Parts: sequence; structure tokens; C-alpha cells
Amino acid sequence: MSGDPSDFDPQTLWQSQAQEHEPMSLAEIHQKALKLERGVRWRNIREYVASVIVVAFFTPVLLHRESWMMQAGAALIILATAFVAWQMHRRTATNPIPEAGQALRDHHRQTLIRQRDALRSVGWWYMAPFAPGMVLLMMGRWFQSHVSSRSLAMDHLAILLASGFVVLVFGGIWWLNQLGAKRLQQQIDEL
Amino acid sequence: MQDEHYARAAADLGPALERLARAYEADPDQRRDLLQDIHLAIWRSFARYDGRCSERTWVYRVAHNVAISHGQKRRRSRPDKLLTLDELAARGDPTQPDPEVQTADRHALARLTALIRALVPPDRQIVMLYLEGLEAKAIAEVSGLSPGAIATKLHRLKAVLANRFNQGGPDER
Repeated sequence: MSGDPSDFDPQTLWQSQAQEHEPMSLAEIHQKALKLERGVRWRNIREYVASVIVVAFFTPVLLHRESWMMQAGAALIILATAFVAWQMHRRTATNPIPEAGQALRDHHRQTLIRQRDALRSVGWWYMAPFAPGMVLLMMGRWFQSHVSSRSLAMDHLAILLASGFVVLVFGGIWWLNQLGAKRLQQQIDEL
Repeated sequence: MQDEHYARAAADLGPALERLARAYEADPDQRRDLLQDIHLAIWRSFARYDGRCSERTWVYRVAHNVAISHGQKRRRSRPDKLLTLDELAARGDPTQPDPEVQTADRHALARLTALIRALVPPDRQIVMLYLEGLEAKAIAEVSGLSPGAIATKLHRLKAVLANRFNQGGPDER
């Protein structure tokens, strides 16, 4: 190969590459498998802890007796948190193991479809469950619970700003996910 | 059984798996991680191996599937435009030689590796399986494409390689 370019044999050239790494021993493989399992367990624990924090944050609102709307909103948000935690657990637990020995074309296509569907559906399983609770919370603040140190107008302005911020954040997340889904769809169409 | 299957596969195909990781990942640290992930995935997958295809086919499928998932994660942070074999044939050489490469063989290998990395995953897999010496029928079994489609792709690939390496690319100018 080094001299005459017509000698070029890509297979020989490719297979003649020197090895950089020592092969992994079975003990190392077993160790890595254990580490992977621990990683999954810790990820699950982190998700549950996050859910507990949200629940702990809204529990005092449940006891806020001057506004039934806010109480109902907090209850719905706690339910939504449990629902989303369950969805996340279900989606990660049943995620087909990517290393399954599927034919490459099938695996590639299915991976893209799974990712596209996950992005497309973020709206209904991750965001929509929180919407009724958030709306009730805001309505409760608007109609039934005012901060005594502020004027009514200022309090309403604060509620409107907070509501706008929530809508912007939720809308932005949804829009970015739809954009990602659209890009994935293009890749699927190209297959 | 799982350990036995894995040990046999690692012994037979270990070097090919390393070349596969090299074709998917340019960064040495990331490449080492990818290779380890591939080995772990192969070991895990043998818990479900049912003998429907040969061990070699199974190992190549698992390894490429893991490498693709790795590549997708990397592409999110480094979105390069990848090409099909047809696009590659129609445009100039996208493979810039590594300035540190000294010899002609290493130079050719660097260009070949860069060419592989520039391809979209389905075409990249076919090229690599061909370079590992698999026949069209075996490539079809691993990839899930028809033997006819593989034959067409290989024909196109050989033309690209001949054009790039035999008749002088930009480096021979």
C-alpha cells in the first residue's frame, strides 16, 4: 500500500490496525455490570426524592383552609407528581435494552421512533398532568387568598406575572420537544 | 453459559470490536468507554441469546447498536452533517488527513477512518462489516437489509474507495 496506490486493499489495511486496549476480563465485566445496576438504582432513588420534595412543598398548601381552590390545586399537583413519577419509572423500566441483538436497520429505526414518541408525548404525560392543579392554585390565589401586605392590584399583577412565567416555561419546553421530534422524524423518513 | 458465550466472542471478535469503536469515536477516552460499553452490552445480551442467528451476527448487531446509541448521544452535542454513500460519491473528499500522520499506510488508514465516520450509520455499518471481511449475505443478516440492497451498496462503496484511494485523492495531487 505504501508505494503504488493501485495496491490498495481496504480490508487488509483495515484489519491490520494494532490493538490499543487489553481485552476486558470477565471479572471486570461483572464489576461493570454491577456498577450499571447500582447507577440505575441511584437514578430511580433521585427521581423518587425529587417527587418527595415536590409533595413536601405542596403539602402545607393542602392545609391552607382559607382557599379550597388552592387546596384542591395542591392535591392535584401532588397527584400529578405521583403520576409523572410512575410514568418515568414505567418508561425507563420497560425501555428495551438497546444492546438487544436486533438487526441494525430495525434497531436504528425503532430507537429513533421511540425517541420521537417520547418527545412528542412529553406534553400529555409530563406537563398536562400539572396544568389543572396549577390553574386551580392560581385561581385560588386570585379569588380567595391575597397577600395582606400588598394592594389587591399589585397582588393580581404578581399572580399574572407568575402565571405568565409558568406558561412560558411550559410552552418553551413543549416547543423544544416538538422541534426535536420533528428532526427525528426527518431522520426516520430518510431511512 | 453467558460467560462462555462472551469469552468466546471476545476472543474471536475482540480486535474487530476495537476497530468498530475506533470507526465510531475519534476521542481516545470516549473510545475506550465505548469499547467497554460494547463488551458489557455483549455480555449482558448473551443472557437472552437464543441461537436464532450465529454468535458472530449477534455480536456485530449488539456492538453496532450500542455504537449507534453512543453516536446519537455524541451528535446532540456535536452535530456534524453525515453523508450517505451516494452523497459521498457525488462530492469531494470530506476526509482531511491527520497532520501528525507520517507514513502512507497510516495516512490511508486515517483517511479511510475519516471516510467511515462521515457516513450515516446504516452505510457506515455496511462499510465496516465489509472491511471486516464479511460476505454480502452475512452483512445482510447483520444489517437487516436485503442481499440485493447490500450488493448495490457494496458496488457503490467499492467505486468510492477506488476513486478515493487508487486514482489519487487530494493528498496525491
